[in-house]
Amino acid sequence: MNNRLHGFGLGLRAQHYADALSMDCTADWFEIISENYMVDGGRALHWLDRIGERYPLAMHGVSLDIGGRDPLDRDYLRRLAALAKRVKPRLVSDHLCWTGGDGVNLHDLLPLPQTEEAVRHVAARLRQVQDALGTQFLVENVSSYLRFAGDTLDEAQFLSAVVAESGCALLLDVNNVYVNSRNHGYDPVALLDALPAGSVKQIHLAGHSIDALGSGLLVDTHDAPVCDEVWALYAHAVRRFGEVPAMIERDDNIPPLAELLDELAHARDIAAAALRRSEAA
Amino acid sequence: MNAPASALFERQAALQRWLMHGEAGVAAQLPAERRDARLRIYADAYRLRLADVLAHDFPVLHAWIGEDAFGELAEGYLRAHPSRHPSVRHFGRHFAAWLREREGTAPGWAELAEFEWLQGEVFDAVDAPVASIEDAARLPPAAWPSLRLQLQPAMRLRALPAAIPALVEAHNAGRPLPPFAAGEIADWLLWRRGFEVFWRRLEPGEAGLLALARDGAGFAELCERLGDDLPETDAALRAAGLLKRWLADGLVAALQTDPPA
Repeated sequence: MNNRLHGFGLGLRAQHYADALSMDCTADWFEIISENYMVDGGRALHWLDRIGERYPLAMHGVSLDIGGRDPLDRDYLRRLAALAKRVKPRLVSDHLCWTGGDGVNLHDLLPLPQTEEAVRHVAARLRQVQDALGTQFLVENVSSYLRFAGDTLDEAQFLSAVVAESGCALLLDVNNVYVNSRNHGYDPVALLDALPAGSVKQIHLAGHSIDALGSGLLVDTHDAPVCDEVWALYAHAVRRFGEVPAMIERDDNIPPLAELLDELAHARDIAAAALRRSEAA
Repeated sequence: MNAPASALFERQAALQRWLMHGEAGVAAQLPAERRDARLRIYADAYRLRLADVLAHDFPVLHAWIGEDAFGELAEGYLRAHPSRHPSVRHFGRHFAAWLREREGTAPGWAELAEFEWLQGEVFDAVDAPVASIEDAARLPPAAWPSLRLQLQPAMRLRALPAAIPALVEAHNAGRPLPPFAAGEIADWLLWRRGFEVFWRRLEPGEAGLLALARDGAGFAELCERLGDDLPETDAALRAAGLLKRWLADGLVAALQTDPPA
């Protein structure tokens, strides 16, 4: 596996399989949800192979449970490694969270206490994952709606410590930084500035919504275009971390591919302008 | 095997008890600011996400009984069978059996759920090649006594009320669902050809023969079985007719002979 992933990508969704292979698709690469392709055969794997012949791919999982209390699922890791052998991804990632326990999968990206104990636990498991896959792994900062009392680290310290102790890299979700900054009351720019400069290997961009029941909390719904505040934060991330491969995720209200490609063109423009500004400074 | 108790694991277990059982003890471990809303967002997301998965995997049952009734079923099923698999694709695997055991399940619900689940199983079962009628025509006469049919892995046989597939066909065509009349049970075959899932009602006796072939019986054995009920000439004609139909449907992955033809 090599880490040469450049430019601007999209999350691959079944609605876009055919259009992704049409000549006018300008995405540089696609990211797949790993679990969607852990099947024995059929349509999804057929399209995956064809799209993989044309585009570089990244793999992004949702069920590794890297922060969970059950032992790492060896069967899941075997299936992940087998999929990686088929896909030959440029990057492999999952979320810095926990997803269940006692054999139950809650299918949510649940928040970890931000403590030294959690850092040690997650880092040890990440080292196991990297050994099993034979490559550096990326973990994504997740959106969260609660924090535990007794946290001893802020979010930037927590992310930095996991990276330092595990040797993994960060998949920086800029929308999640924005959502958390609003939900937990911190400065998102300060968080980006506090992360180790070389640690970010991939960037996610997405839309969010506001809690319909009036709490004022933001919810990471991936059902809308990227908002202006997140674009501004992305520009800052580009100035801070340089030319990192970036992509847009959409999981609900999925528009035609052409619409997402227009949004991706906007990401290119913002990144180019941010880089010009960095060079001029 | 869990590691020794820790603050990390205790907090996870407490939040999990909130999500799965509504036990609010986790609140003591959270700052007070908008605490109820924060917990509610996670609880709602857990229930709604898995209810959406069931609605996606059982779209006809969902349409048949409506949002509210389906939502109640989803909540009950989630309590009885929380997901134990990394992929949500497997969450609904016990839904039909749970419906069958459940008090208050109306006639047809469990059977429709079973039929929809089988469609999903066939949809992403292992790929296999498709043998053709021409492949069979090319077999030398000496190969026929040892012929075995390797059937598609993406194939399921089930005895279900004859009215169930009509519900699915009406839904897929955008027509109003016909009234359901339990009653006649028929043998149904579901299979995938290319990436499309098909089904058809089997002729009397055909399911038993397909099951025999699937389990490794030779073609000669299938002919013998037909001969139990038919004169020899009729049995041979019937066997040839069934083989032709199965090949035309794409049910046969390979024609195996000894020695290989």
